[in-house]
Amino acid sequence: MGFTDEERTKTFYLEGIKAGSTYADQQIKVEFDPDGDEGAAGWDVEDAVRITVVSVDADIDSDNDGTVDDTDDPIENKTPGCIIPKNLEGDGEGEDCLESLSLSVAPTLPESTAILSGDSGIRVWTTIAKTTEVTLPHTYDPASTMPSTLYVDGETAGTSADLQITYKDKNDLEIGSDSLKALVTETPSWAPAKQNIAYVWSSLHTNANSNIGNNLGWGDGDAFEDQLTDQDWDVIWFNDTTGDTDTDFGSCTLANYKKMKDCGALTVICHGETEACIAVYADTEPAATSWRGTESDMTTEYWPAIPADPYWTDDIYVVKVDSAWHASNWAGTLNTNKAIAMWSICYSAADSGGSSLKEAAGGRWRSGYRWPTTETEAEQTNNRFLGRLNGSVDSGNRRTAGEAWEDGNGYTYAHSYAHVDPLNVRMDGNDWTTLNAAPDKNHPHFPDDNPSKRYGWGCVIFDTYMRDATSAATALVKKSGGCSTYDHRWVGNTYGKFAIGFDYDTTDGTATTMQAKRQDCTNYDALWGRPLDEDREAPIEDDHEWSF
Amino acid sequence: MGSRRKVVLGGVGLCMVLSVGFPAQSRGNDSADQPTAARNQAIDADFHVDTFGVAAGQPINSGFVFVDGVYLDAPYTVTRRGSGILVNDEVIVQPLPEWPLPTPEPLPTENPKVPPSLERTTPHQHPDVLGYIRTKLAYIKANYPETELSTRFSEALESLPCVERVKGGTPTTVTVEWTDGDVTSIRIVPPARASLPMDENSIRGRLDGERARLEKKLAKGKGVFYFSDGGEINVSKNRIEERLPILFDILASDQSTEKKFQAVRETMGWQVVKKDGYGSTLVTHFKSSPQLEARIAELRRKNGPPE
Repeated sequence: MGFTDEERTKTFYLEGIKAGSTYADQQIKVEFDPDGDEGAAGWDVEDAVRITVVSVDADIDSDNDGTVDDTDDPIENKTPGCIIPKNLEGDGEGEDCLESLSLSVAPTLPESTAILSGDSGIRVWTTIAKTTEVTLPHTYDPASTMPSTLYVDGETAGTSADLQITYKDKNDLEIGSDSLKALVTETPSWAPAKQNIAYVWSSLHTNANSNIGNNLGWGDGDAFEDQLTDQDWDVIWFNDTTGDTDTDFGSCTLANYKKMKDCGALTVICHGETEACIAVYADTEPAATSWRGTESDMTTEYWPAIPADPYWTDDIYVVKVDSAWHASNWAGTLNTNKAIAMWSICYSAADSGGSSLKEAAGGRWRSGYRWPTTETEAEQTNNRFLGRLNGSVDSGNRRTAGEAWEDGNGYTYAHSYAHVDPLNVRMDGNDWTTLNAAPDKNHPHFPDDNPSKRYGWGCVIFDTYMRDATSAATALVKKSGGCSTYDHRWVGNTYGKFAIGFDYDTTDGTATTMQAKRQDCTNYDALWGRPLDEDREAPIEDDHEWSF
Repeated sequence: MGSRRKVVLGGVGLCMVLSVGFPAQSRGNDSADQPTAARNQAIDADFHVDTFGVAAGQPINSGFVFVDGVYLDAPYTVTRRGSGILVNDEVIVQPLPEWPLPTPEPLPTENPKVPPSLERTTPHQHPDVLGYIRTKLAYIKANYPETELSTRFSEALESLPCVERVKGGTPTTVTVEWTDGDVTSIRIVPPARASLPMDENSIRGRLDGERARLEKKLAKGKGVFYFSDGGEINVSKNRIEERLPILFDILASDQSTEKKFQAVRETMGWQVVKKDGYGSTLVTHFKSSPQLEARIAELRRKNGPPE
């Protein structure tokens, strides 16, 4: 052992490689034969110590592959750690996303304690059904009362949290600990489906209606078009440009009105009233009646000219399409499409739900007007709301419908009933609705700094559920650098995928640039989605890149 | 005011004014023998240039414009010509059909009586029926409080021999059943959405705003497909640059018209584009130009090989 007359003490270091099964079940014994094998004395001198190999382990799905296993442990202390969206959003709202946390200490020492601690921004529950919250820090005394599984809930989006388990003996001395990281991301949103199709219905699309009371303008549709095309939507107009006193409906045909539901976003610009939209305008009753054919919940209405009124100089016939028709013909598909439906017409929203157009026609996010509206008000509303959704307003910080709507803050514009009700526009629906996918607002990608020379796990995180039919290796590529990246894979939950992860090896120390390709990182859609907005601000221009 | 006529220019220079017509079919075949000065005078009159003047923007070398399938060569100059808007020579916003606006029928000074010509068998669309409804409603509005409007108008309708009964109504309508069996809802108050002011300056300002918006769209490099039935498809810069070469290949190919429509729907996602339906002229009247072919070639170089 290397003892000499001068060196009478030797120091060795122990490594526990397997947790003991009981207290002090391991022994280290030193025996001493003072005169060696050939002397008379035997192994008469000895001393021994007892040892307990302690294991303290906390595990979570750190590589975000859906399982807690051996691959998680080596990277559990590195960012991002386990990605936990604040909530999940299916077709309903507000479903919590909880991640399983495995805990163990071994052996269970008498009178020992285990302390679970963690940063704010996460909450821990005893069951996935959130039966009882474990308020942190929490001491399990004795340690044997600590459950083997708890559930971690993301509370504050943007939090990069540490979770730690500390094992203490009966003297309150720390005898082991383990820690891991978790990242709370914002709730993933859904963007509307139906590829990139948005429709505008503008059946009074002229300054030259015979009744100038029908000159409503279409600047609100222009705003809708401008904001959506900036986010790579195709905006298709159905217009009647020939005025209100002919039998030419232009492209405002019944067939096209029925097709309006087959979109991801729509706006309707015409006259409206409580529970009805005045869809088309003609100079004869047969023309209007022929337009509606045998459709239920549509009626022809005669609007007589009003003598002495310069706004209403000509008789016309219109087709009134009731909420009930929209409920039967549009709502199902618009809901399935997770569409954004913006009714730029008077009385299209009710305060108490019910059967106004906004409520009846469906869609994941809906807007309408409680009172009469104007082109100017609707244009301002569309520019503010859709500009926020596409990121050009408020620097990409209000890209979800809930953030963009902001409970109506800032949407108070001039209108004829402002003295009764300053806020005319009404919006509601699922707050977690976006136009397109973009990188996560708080933590778009990892590694987000120099990870030093090591193996690790990185990712790009999106704010919207993605179309994972595209290969992850195609959607996220290494653009340059010597770091090896491998096993690119979509990351998500039962509803969908909202990140692409990859393993990396930076042991050669070369700076590496990753590229999430905008055309391949698209929002979820059965056929194809709209491309990624790399900087969260319209227009979409480049791929999302970062280096580490 | 009667039905509208559509003003269509196009071809080379501002040389044609067509009455109701279909631009892609009519372009280039009308009024060619008129002296130029007379033609332009007629055009100016149609566009009310004397009243509203002309405002032309700067030529724009970006974006793509198609009108009924025909590619318009850049640069694009968006002009407000009187009360209409043109991109190059194509009318995008129709001029007002007449100016000044017509004066309304005068308010009746006496309580209208049921025309003696009306009988039980008179069709409800007879001009005398409609005339009575119009003047009676106006008279009631002018002489009685709004709260009595529905009741008094219903009573007036019931006095008509061709009315079977008044079925009731809403705060905005009265519904009547005629002796011929038809049922009509008659609006008794105007709809609520405020209309745009129609004075000279407001019209001019609004059209100039529209012109500026078109210029902005093209300056952003977007693509726009106009159709003479009022349809319009707007596409972002990214989308038009990535997809136009593919669309061009479809439209310029030898495949059948039906297959072209199908390919357009599948490639662009424009499910609404149909033969004999929306946007049909994109396929049936597609016309390229040397400039378009050059721009497509440039896009192909930029985009690289198709995936």
